[in-house]
Amino acid sequence: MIRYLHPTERALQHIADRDVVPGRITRAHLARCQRCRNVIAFSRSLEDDVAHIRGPIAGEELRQAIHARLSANDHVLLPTEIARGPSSSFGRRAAVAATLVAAMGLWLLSTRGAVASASSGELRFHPGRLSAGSIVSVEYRDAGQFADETVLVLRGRLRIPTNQSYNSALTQARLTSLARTSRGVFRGSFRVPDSVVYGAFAVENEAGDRVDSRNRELWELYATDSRGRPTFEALSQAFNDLLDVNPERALQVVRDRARLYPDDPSAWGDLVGWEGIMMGDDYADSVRPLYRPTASRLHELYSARDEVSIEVAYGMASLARAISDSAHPEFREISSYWRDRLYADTAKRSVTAAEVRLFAAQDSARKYPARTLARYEQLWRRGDSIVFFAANNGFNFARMANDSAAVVRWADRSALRNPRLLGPSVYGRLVEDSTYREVALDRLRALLRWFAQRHDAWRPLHASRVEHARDDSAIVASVFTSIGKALLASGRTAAALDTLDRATHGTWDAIVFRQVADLRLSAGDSAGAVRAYASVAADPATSRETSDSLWRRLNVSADRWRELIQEAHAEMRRRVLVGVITRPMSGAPRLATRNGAPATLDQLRGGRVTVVTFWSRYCAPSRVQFAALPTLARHLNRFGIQLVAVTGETPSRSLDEFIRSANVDFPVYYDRWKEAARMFETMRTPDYFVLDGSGLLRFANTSLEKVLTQAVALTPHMTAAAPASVGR
Amino acid sequence: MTMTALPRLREKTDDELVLLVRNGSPEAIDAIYDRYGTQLLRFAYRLIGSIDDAEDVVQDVFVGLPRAVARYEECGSFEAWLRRITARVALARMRRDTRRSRWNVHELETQRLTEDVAQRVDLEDAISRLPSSLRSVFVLRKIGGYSHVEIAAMLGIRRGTSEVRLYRAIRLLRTMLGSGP
Repeated sequence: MIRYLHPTERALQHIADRDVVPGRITRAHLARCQRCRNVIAFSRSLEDDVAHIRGPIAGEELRQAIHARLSANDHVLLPTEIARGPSSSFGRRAAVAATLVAAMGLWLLSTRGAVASASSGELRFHPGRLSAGSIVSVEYRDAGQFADETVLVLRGRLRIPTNQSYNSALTQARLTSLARTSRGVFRGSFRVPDSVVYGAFAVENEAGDRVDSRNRELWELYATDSRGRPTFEALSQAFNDLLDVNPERALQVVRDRARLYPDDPSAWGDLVGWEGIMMGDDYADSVRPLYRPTASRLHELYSARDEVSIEVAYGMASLARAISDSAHPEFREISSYWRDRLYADTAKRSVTAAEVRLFAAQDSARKYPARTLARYEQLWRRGDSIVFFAANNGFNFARMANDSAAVVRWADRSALRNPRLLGPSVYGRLVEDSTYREVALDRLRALLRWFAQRHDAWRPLHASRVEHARDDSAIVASVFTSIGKALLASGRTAAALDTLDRATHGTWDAIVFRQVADLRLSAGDSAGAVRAYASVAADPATSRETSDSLWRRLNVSADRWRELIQEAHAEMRRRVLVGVITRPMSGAPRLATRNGAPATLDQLRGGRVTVVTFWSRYCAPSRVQFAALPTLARHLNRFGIQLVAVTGETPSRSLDEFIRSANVDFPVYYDRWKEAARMFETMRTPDYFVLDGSGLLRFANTSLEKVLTQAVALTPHMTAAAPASVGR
Repeated sequence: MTMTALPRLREKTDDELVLLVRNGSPEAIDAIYDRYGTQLLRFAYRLIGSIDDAEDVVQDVFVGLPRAVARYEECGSFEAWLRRITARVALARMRRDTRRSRWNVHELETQRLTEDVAQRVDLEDAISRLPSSLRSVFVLRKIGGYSHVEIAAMLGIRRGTSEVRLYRAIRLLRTMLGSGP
């Protein structure tokens, strides 16, 4: 006879929780067994008893503490998710993976960030999703800034699944007009173009001089599936779009994508990567173990399949590599396995696999530039999904291979992706080489004609036409500078002088002023030379000795020289402050010193104008500029301006050695919790910001070349010293 | 903040209060605090075992609320949403703190001692004596009402581990409360 044993405690718990209905045999056992019935009864009674347990009461002291922190603009980033109730159409599929993302808990952050303005209106779409070919109705409620308008414009940036990361190669479009109705709201509609899966939107008046971009956060629409869930492609394009618009929101989106699509390795690979960038090494190290079960599960799932997509193979390789460490070398093996599959026969036909192989072989490719160039040419001809770095790489390999036709061809390809930003950069590099000077000059002149046509499609959604024109004029000035220098190098002095004058009109560039001054002096134009030299002397980077030596060349009195420099100071301030912004940065992100002692940015500022620079030794341009920071710090200190250099790395001996080798004699701070990077909304290095004495952000994402004059322009006094030599 | 706003706000629904918080109303935060503050504090206290830490958790939840409600969509229970956030914040704090605090029984509301109350105090004490790994699962399941799948995700464990920890917790409680092995 088979003896029926007691159900396991686990089974009894399931019965107590009403997760399962006991079968016939179990019911019969429970009818006979008091012990098992007691276990069930006790568990069920706990729920009632626990509900009656009293405990602490949330009182007035706690309430006051909350309000004190709210008044101090203390920000806490809570671990929320796309919150849906039990009937959510998002579903709870694979909730283990789903809430694992949001439930890290470790991403509870205390940070002090900018307070957003409350002047944004309300934009609604119906339906609230993108579907190719469908009509979307739009309703906008103004918060007051468009009170005198009868018609507004909805502008948008629409993405399809093959669009790349970041927005430099994407244009914006006017989608529809919004007409004011009798009830005061603005209404319009637009048809969704084919293949669009994500859209970012802003509203502006017809003149484009007032924009509601929801405080630069924009409004969004996603393509959804039949359950109303954003599609994977929509979330991917949202992530791509947000990378340089709102990195923190990008983090939220990449977490949502992994939660909603837990079987997609690329979702997890991107999540691990972006969390590491946003949250820092400490956080990345602590959460790495939590991703291992997911990586193992996905490896088991997909390795059993003969055919997998390139995205799966690439995602698995990336994910496994990101979570491997010395204690878990098996994930390095998993990553190698998937890399091999990525390069296997079936993958060779894929453009993505070819790109990945080329990119992975960068170092050895340098030994064979001609062969590598040929592969890039093949790639370019084959695919329209080529990654954004391919154009730049093709250009570099063409130069290494000394293939002049290819150099120009790849420069044109790079410039075509974004004439506004990439054109000046690539042709500016080309014009410095005498081999390509004439063709580069042609291209730069063509760019000037392009700028003159004011292509509104390249205007960012948050920027008004005035702001965009101001940004354009700075870019145009750089194009003129490149042309002027090229003309000078080829001996066309008069044309160079005229062009360089145009380059400095409305901008400030001491190097160009010096070239103009020397040219004018040698051409016998002393009066013109004197003013230009005074501008050089007024520049904050010019030492007293240099200023004196310039004065000695000229036939002007010491008083007149001082007067000219003061006028130049005022002109410098006027030109530089044209581009100034005013953004509150209340709060104090935590930074750490080398020995781990905490410091806040407010403490470091000490009420002074402050330059904050973010740098990384793993970024080549940042490494180069880091070596120039001691000089920058000395110049800034002359004007009582503080330099705060911030790295996202954790302190280490190798980092100490790197800092020492740069002869840095000012303290470096560590943004271990990424609070500073988040407050300044930057994940780039090198990056520069200028805060005024009251802590307002006045220049953002500026450059090493400009930051000194920008910071000095904000100081209240810029007195010109009398020349050391008096009389002749 | 004035008290005169509160009586009017007491009648508002959760969704109406959420809308007011989105529009920057500090009185609405007060109203939500009055409605759910104690419940959240007690929930955090059960999880974390320290009054001070539980108050810090609740502070963080309410300070972060104005920003977090931007992500709340009015198609679920606001109370459940708040409790879920509180749980995550408390768990994050527990992961950071290696130190264990004794439960501060002096903070408990005093009550007339009846047999029932004595039993509840015993139960509370028994819960406090559970190992933290078992206590977390017990509190999340029996007080928070989360499923084992959700608990597993929150704690970074397998679903089966969550189930095992729950019945071990209950078995321990049964032993401590003298209700059997």
